Amino acid sequence: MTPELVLDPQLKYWVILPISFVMVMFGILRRYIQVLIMADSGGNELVKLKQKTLIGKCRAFRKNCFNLNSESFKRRQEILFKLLDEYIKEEDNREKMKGSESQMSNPLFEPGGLDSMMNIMKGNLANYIPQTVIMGWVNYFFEGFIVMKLPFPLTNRFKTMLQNGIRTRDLDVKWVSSISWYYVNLLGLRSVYNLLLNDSNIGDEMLMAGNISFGGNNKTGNNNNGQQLQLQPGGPSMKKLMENEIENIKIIQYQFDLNDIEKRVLEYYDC
Amino acid sequence: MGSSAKDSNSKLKQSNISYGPNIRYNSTKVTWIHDLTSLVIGVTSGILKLESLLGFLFFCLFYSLINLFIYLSVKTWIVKNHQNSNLFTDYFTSFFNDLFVVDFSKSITSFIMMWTLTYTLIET
Repeated sequence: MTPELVLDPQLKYWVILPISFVMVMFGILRRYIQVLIMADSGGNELVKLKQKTLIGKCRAFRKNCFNLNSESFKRRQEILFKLLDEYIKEEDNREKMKGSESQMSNPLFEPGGLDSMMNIMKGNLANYIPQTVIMGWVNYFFEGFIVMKLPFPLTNRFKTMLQNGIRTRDLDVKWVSSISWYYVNLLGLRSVYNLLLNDSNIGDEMLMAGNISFGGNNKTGNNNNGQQLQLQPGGPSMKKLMENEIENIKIIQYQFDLNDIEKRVLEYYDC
Repeated sequence: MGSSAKDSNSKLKQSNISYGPNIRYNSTKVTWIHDLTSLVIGVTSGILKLESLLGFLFFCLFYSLINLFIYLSVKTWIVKNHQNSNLFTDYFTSFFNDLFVVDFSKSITSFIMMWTLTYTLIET
């Protein structure tokens, strides 16, 4: 049985491996560029930071207040109310000051909003530019010949995409050109990046999570430790959040978890 | 009195102590294992010159096997360290979701990548 097509073995050294190598390198470079960009814009105003930590504190309090006895619960509640009131008043003053300067209320033009918009845009740019560059490179350099044989059959629908630039009508879709190796790499290299950049960078990413809401969030389930708090461009303002916290703390249905603990322990062990 | 006591006991059980960062740490570990295994499975199935459906079956088989090993190791650890053996949800959000669903698309694409790479390296 003679094979359908015979490919030059040099193709794999001069096409396939270079494409993979370049893509891996580009991925690593992109990662570090992203880190640099994020680090640049990481500067947070003191006031914002204070407000964020206060809201985080309120959330922690709401979640864990059942471990406090009623006396300390009340004390903490009062303190939080006082702090929140203070901060809201400060915010009001600041808004008034700003209001006298300019009347713009469009969230796009607020300094904070613009900042976070820029962050998102930078992240997207860092993603898209290298991809288009590499795709153009692959298309320009390695166009017009079969490079490899896929180990699985595909339907004819993929022919236009994967055999781009090869004018053979009857060739099986198994035989594909370099652009499809690019696509396969694009999808498959994510875990390679994860393995290469693993140890320290995961932690960095978690720290940076204040800026980006990446897909990992829903997988990790509960992110109720106030760090994750963030201001999205269209999201509610800090003042609104703090007012909400006051309401939430007011309506806690507080009950000490250790009420009648002696009885319950005795009952539990059937004494 | 008895009912309220039961209430709060069940409440204590319900609000099991799952600490966010720990769960995140575990899921990154699991993702790491999945990444590595999918690449290794890809290389092996390329070397074995598996084609079409056989390759995907090979992947599914070994992927499930790895997940089984992860599950068993966590389970034995829990049994050794806690009396209550139903604590899997303290360390992962859910068994099926974390081990099979979350990383599946990523794993299968990287499997396909390594598979095609080694396959072509060997074939041509």
